[in-house]
Amino acid sequence: MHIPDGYLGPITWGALWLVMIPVWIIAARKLKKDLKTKNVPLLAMGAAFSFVIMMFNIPVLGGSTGHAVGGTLIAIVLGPWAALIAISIVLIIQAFFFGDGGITAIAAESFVLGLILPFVGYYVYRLISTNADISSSRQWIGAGIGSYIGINTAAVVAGILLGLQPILHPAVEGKFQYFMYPISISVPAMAIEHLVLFGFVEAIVTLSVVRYLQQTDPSLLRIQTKAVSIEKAGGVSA
Amino acid sequence: MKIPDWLSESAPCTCCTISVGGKKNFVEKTLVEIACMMERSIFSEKYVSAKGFLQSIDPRVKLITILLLIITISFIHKTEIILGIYALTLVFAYLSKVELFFFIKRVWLFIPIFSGMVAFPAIFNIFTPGEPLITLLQFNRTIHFWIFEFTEISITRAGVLGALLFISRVATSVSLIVLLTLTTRWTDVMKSLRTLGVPQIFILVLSMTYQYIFLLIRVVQEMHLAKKSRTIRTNRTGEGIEKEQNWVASRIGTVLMKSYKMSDEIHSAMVSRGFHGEIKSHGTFKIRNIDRVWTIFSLAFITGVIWLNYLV
Repeated sequence: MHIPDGYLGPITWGALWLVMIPVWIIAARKLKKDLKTKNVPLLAMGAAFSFVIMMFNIPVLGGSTGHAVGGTLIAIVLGPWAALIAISIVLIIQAFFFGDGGITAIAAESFVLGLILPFVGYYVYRLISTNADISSSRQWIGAGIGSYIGINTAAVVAGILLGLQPILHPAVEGKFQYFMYPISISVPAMAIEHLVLFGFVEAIVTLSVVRYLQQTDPSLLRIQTKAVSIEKAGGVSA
Repeated sequence: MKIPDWLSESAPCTCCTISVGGKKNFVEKTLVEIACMMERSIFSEKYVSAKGFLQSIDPRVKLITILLLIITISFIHKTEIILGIYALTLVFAYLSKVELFFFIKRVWLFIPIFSGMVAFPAIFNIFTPGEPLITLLQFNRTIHFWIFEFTEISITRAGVLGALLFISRVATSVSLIVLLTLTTRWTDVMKSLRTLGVPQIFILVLSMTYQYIFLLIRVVQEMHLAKKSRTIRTNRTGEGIEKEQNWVASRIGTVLMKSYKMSDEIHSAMVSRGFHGEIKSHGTFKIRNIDRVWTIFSLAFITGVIWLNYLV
């Protein structure tokens, strides 16, 4: 779902920088509440991990393979705000050092993959797994459904952003300036491939990793709930 | 550090061939992708230490001028101007001792070619109506398909020009950023982000991420090599696919556990070395005359380009 430079016009990428800068500041404030120094290596490792998830190819039906984004998984383990920062960092590194994704589009990509995907995925997961025991099957069912809905929502939002281009930047002398297909094409194109393929890859990876963690190291699934309960307790005493 | 020739002249790049079909299984595919990533970073090191033109410019100045150029390109709607800037990136690649063939290959593979596939349908009248260049099919009635209505299928002038504008914009932007990272040490690129107002703590996380990506990737590579070397019969028929999926998931889980534990250890190591949440950067960048000349040249160039685009 990388968006290279030249796909989005200045109105779209400019607006999304204006949206994302305050969102990043809010995320940084939220994370500062916890131990300040500890967040530095935690976020760095979280970001490195989310980069590496994309290197894992997973076999899907028919001999084809795909890779996951892992946004929901990171949000389940580290929380959605940390996931936002970690994924944004990965997108910056990919745009600068690996030429994947555009520089002007960093904010737009962070909006789709760092904000929409993990937040939707995480809150669907929380909705399904509320009050569920760490070993409960509701945990991995929630993770699977959450990640599937999360990535599909992100795909639709990306489709809308791309499809807005012919409207925001109408053709000059008959030729289109940026991404040239309208929403009626871009949204179905993005949605279909994610509904039938990448959504399932994301869901399979997320739910299987959560199941694996339940069996081997359940404490990793508890970091988030612990942080939430500490925050609540702190709020009461303050 | 200079990379010795025997190391940089590696086997033909396997990563640059997009494999279609099910010849490679997921283990091999992952290994190839990892090798490709490593190779890219080794090649980048090679040009950073060359004594070329762009290497001699202050990283901060270079970062800001190149970003300004990328932003400018986003506003330009005359293909000739964008192609002119593209030609200039080739000149500067040459002046910076970057092999042109390597540079062109590195830029064009993947993103512009992918963008070409994206733009291809738009050259037809169905998406971009206009004066036809070549008419492929003529119908004697209006065809209704989904949201489209057409009486012929033809390649239009506006469609071709639009696709050309789109691809040249994508390729020129990629060229500029590749030129930046090929001629600048990644640590200097990160440090220079400070001048753009990126907080120091964020830059620290960014640099640490970049370093640990390579460590974790090595771990992933070893996992896959271990599996490959223990596999006697490759499974291509799709049986036991669930088992394979579980294997991948368990490895991702293991990397997650490893990185979480490692972040704890790194934290202890940092604290025991005096880290308390604040970072001092020892910047040794110095603006020299060549940087001033480059800045004036870039700003004049950008102004000229905008003038050509909007006023002529």
